[in-house]
Amino acid sequence: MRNLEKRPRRVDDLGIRIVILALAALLLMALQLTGHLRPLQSAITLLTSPAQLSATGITENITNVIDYFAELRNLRQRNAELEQLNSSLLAEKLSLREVEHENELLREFFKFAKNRPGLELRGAQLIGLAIGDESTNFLRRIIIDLGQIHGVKVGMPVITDQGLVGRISEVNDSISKVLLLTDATSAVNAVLQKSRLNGVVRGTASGDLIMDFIDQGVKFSVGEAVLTSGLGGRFPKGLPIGEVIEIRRRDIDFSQQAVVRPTVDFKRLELVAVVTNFNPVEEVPELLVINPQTSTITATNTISVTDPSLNPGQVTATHVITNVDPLDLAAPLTTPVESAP
Amino acid sequence: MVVFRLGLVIAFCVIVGRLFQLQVIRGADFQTKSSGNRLKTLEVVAPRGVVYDRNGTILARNKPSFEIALVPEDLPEDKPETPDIDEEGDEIARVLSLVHADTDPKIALRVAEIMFRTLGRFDYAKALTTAGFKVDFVTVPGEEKEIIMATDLPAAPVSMPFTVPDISTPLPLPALVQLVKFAIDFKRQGSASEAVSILDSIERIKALEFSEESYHMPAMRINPSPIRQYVYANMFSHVLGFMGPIPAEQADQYTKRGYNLNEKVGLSGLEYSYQDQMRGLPGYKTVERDILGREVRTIGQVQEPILGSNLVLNIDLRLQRVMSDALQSAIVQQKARWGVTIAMNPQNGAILGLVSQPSFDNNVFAERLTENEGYQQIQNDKRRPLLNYAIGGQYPPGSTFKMVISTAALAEGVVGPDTTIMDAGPIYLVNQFFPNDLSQAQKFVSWNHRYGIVHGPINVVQALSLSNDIFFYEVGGGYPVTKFRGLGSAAMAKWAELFGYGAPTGIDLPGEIGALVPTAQWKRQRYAESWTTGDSYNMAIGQGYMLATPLQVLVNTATVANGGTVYQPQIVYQLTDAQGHVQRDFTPKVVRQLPLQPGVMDLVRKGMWEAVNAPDGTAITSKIDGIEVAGKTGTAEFCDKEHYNPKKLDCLDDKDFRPSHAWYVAFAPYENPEIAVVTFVFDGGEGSLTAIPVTKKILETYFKEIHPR
Repeated sequence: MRNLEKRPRRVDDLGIRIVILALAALLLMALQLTGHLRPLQSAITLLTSPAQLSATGITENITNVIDYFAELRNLRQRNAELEQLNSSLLAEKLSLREVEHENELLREFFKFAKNRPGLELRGAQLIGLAIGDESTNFLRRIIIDLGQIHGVKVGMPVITDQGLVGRISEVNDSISKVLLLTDATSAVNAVLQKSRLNGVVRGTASGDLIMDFIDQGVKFSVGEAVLTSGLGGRFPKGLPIGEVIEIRRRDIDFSQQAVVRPTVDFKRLELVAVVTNFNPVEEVPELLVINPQTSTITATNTISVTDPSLNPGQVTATHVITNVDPLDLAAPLTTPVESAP
Repeated sequence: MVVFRLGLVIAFCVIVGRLFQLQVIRGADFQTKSSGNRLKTLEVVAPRGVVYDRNGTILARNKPSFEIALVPEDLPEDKPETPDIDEEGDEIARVLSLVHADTDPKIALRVAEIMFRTLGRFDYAKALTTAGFKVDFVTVPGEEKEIIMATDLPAAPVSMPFTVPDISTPLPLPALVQLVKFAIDFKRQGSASEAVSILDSIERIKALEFSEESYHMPAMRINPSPIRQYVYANMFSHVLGFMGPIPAEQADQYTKRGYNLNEKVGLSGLEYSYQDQMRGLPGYKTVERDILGREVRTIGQVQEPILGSNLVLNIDLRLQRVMSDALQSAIVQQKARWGVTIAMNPQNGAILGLVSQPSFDNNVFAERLTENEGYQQIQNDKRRPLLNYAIGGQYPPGSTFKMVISTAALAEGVVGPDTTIMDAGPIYLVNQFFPNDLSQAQKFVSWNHRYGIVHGPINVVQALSLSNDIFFYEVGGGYPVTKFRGLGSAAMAKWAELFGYGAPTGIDLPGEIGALVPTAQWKRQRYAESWTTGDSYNMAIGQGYMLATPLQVLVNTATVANGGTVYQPQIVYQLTDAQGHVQRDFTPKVVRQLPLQPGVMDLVRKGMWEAVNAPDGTAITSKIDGIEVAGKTGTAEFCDKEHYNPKKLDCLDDKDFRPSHAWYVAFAPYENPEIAVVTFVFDGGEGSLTAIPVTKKILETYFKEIHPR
């Protein structure tokens, strides 16, 4: 094109050629349509057929090569798709394992709940650590996925099967903050299981959990279980809080103190239960002896995972836990399924 | 283009300038302001020392009493965007409802009373009236003032009555909220971080319950403050005493000693005597607080509080208990009014037990005293349980005083070991104005004459053993008939004082009196009369004007027991620190050595041994197996309004018996005495009947249970 540019353009030259060629083409088309060209066609075919045959082989090969590359593109795509599926299945598997773990936790909850028929529990997931309003390094508040719409109110106790976690300190529509036992503003009435001494379990600025205001002149020992006393009716009676690991006793002080190691591992909180209602005067066995035979489980929980790329393709993972009552199963168990791809 | 670039430069300069202003010019100011928010200095309470018995059993300790207070700066502020909501008032109302001020009239009254004290009567009324509440007033009589009513009349005392708001009816919750708001506004003008007390003396269990709610009531503080707990209550009340607010009349004196007038101090007993030692000095710490006002960490050095010293007593709880019980049963049995028993180690003056009954529960003084039933009961008891009769009651010592007279007589050479005096029946002192009229003469009998017994010629040892009065009349006042010269008033008084009578013994308890040792001079000044031989006779048998506290009689007994050393009685054995290290150890305090020739005290001791061990001794019922006891009974006659018989112009009853106090003193073992005991029962009848069983029980406990041989 660069060469043409250098020559003076002749309009008639190009236009005429186009017109002639177009007219010739029209003529040939008309002849072919009327069948006047057939003998010529046959003769040409006869002459060129060997060459044509080989040419076809070549073009076929070429087409094949082209097809091959096209196929490769498809395969890659497919591979990617499969990989995606695979990873989604892996995620599924992990999430199922998670569900299983959760069920494990729930099973413990059931055992626990079985022993505490007076408690109305509602399972909740830990979804965050409320560290925004903290200037300390100690974790004092957590956020759970239950809120006002689930009937959660400020002051409700929060527990795990291990024992008391804390209580609801703030409620939003669908989430709530839980004030942990270890917070310095938390105070819970407690009793020492063996010596029957009462006091208040409170958090401290240093992070220790302390049972304070134990009367002077009475003895208790390291290793004693610390339970909620239920005094004041704000907490159910007999929930485990911790264990005495150190006694702070000086004759001159006005009360004795016990350093308490909590039974709940606050670093590994996952599932908790909000006690939405309880009978404050209920007398319960304070030592939670779990008899495996009594923990028959009666709830069913089915998790279906569907992969649309597999036809008829329904992979169903079913976890059956027997026992529904009194834990509300729906809330904790649907959550991980929804999060699966 | 140029304009744009110029704009950038100007903007940059403005930002840098502002930064400079904030960081450099006003930096220090902001620093202070933010530290003020963040850092707070708190007082660290120093607990008061506790009290142990000699074996380490705790007798007095500290327990918490709870107060509810509000911190003004932690209350929500009234938001301008919600003018119809009183955020602060609502929060105060929540706290007041939590403590039941809305439902319990008693609590409503108490809150109002505290607000009345905090605000004063003017502001109290103002707080209510400005909020539209009606205030009732009552008129109270005021101070009396000398007022000249008319120029021609002398000044007359007139009381100036004034009105105060009536706080005797419970206020409704909104009115209480107004009062608290008012008090908080006042506090804000001073230090907004200082808490305003709204309710006090909250029982522990309630306080623990309320504390569960503190997490969403950030302004509420539940402050524990130490109060005393006396573990054995009545058993040790007179020894330990009690605490209370500094009395107004002593405010200056306590301020000079570095006390804060809000402090509680010991008002009686050891709490008073060892106030300075047992008191701790508060420490201070600076804490960093987060935006929610919670303590995050302690900053810098904590100035540790100085803990009060602990007391370890010489008293043994086990002995004290037995003494208390034994005396109690003797008083009940005799329907007597009160009594005392004290035990002491005669070798060093250590008090092993001290009981005065009736006693009281000193724990009631740790609580609030208004509306305190226990306190009212103590106040209304006519037997005056608050008085420690061991050191605050003075009574004729009766025959126990014969220990002094016999020692004096031997020491002054009035009698020798073998001198005998004849008891052939009552003796008479002729009336100096009618020397020849025997019917006018004064008759002196010995106790045995009532039973138709005369003791015949007896020496000093026998006289003590038999407690013969004739012997001591004559030794004390002489006997004109036989021309026998007695000790006389001055010598008796001298020896009484040498034994410790007439002055406080110096025991480490407040409120001890010296009691009276009568002399001729005293009688002249008191009654404008001369001292007579009859006065000497009466004094020689511990009657008449002679008076003594039970503790003085015990010190006398201990002095005889140890051979002549007067020790100052001491209740406290050691002062220790919180770790139990001894800060001050026990050192016996010798008051004096009696100026005695060798052997004198042996005879007095012998007389007391025979009183218990001779067949006709007056105290043979106090013998105990395996231990040699020496003792002396006393039956001290007295006359008071309640026993006065107008027909006989005396306290004589139909059989001519006067009422009497029962005394008994004893020490044991005879050879090397470890314990001396005095027992006194007011109006208890005969010493041998009432006081001996108490002492015997104490000695048995001491030798059989506490220090078995």
